[in-house]
Amino acid sequence: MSSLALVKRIVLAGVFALSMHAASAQTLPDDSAGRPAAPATGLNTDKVEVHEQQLLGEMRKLQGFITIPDTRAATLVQPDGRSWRDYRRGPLLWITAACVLGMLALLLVFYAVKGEIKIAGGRGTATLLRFGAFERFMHWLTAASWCILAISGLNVVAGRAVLLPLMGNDAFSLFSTWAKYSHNFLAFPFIAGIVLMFLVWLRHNIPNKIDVEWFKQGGGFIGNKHPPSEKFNGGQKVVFWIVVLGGGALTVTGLALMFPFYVTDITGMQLAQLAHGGVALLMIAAMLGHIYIGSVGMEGAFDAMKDGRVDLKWAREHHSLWAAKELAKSGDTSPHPAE
Amino acid sequence: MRMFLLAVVVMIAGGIGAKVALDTIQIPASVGFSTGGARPEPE
Repeated sequence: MSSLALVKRIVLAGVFALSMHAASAQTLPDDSAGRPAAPATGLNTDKVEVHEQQLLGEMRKLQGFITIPDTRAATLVQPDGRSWRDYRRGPLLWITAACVLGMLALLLVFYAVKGEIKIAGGRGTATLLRFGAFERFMHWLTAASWCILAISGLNVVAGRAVLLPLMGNDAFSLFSTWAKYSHNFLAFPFIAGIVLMFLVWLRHNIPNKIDVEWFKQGGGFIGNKHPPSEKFNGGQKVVFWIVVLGGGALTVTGLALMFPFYVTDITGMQLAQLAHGGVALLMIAAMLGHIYIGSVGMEGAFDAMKDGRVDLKWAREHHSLWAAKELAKSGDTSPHPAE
Repeated sequence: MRMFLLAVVVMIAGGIGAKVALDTIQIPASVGFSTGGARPEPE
């Protein structure tokens, strides 16, 4: 290459560099012409020493300028979303495993140690009506929808980690789509069930001194004593309030998530999702215990929700005050025999 | 267990009814779902 050609190349490169610098300098003032002003963070973003994490830490959002109608699309990065996503991908999976698998393991150990709590002397022939048809209906409405909501909700949290490798992409996608539809729309029967249970059973679930004594005696689970109890014992009242308060919290946060941006912004929805998931996991753990004691954990307990009538001996053991009151009320000293 | 079966029927009917009602008043519920890998939605 001749020296003249070399000089020409250097000059051309210099002119190109100068023109690029001038062009970039001219774009800066345009920021005041219609573009959203950058958030005042005190940071000099022109400095090369600015680190990404520092920038993300001080700015709530990294936004640009767009001309399409959906102005939300102007946000390129929402730093809080990274924390939320990291929590969902990491700690939340472990918390889920602890709540679900931990509770199942606890119940398994309890069953291995204690076994099924039997009716002393075996089942009798007389029965007592414990729950009427409407009470059983609202209980099952809540329980059935709750089971589907719990499974579909767990899929949102852990499906990708647990089910996707087992099912494959296509099956997991189909399952997740139906699970999400179920989660959305079966929430309404669940809410209806919660409201009905609250209205019908509230008067039986006001805590009192009898419950304190019930807890002091271990609820009959520790040792062989059966502390006196009304229609609902202390443990059942705890379950009632977990369902009512937890269900209320799930309803509020769930509706905020179901209708995006109607109630709150993206940060609010991320917080709602954290609260929704946390409360749901606590409720899942509590309901596993409730299902256990209402089925394999105690002889005769399931009858109350099966056909509404319980063994009189069971009623006298576990709800002695209620059984005495019912018998006195009806004047029925020879209750219906078991079918 | 008749009340259980009735509750399941009412639950399904209630779910379908909720979907129809929301579609009718044109408030679409979010059907987007994240299984842990989706990026945060921009605001």
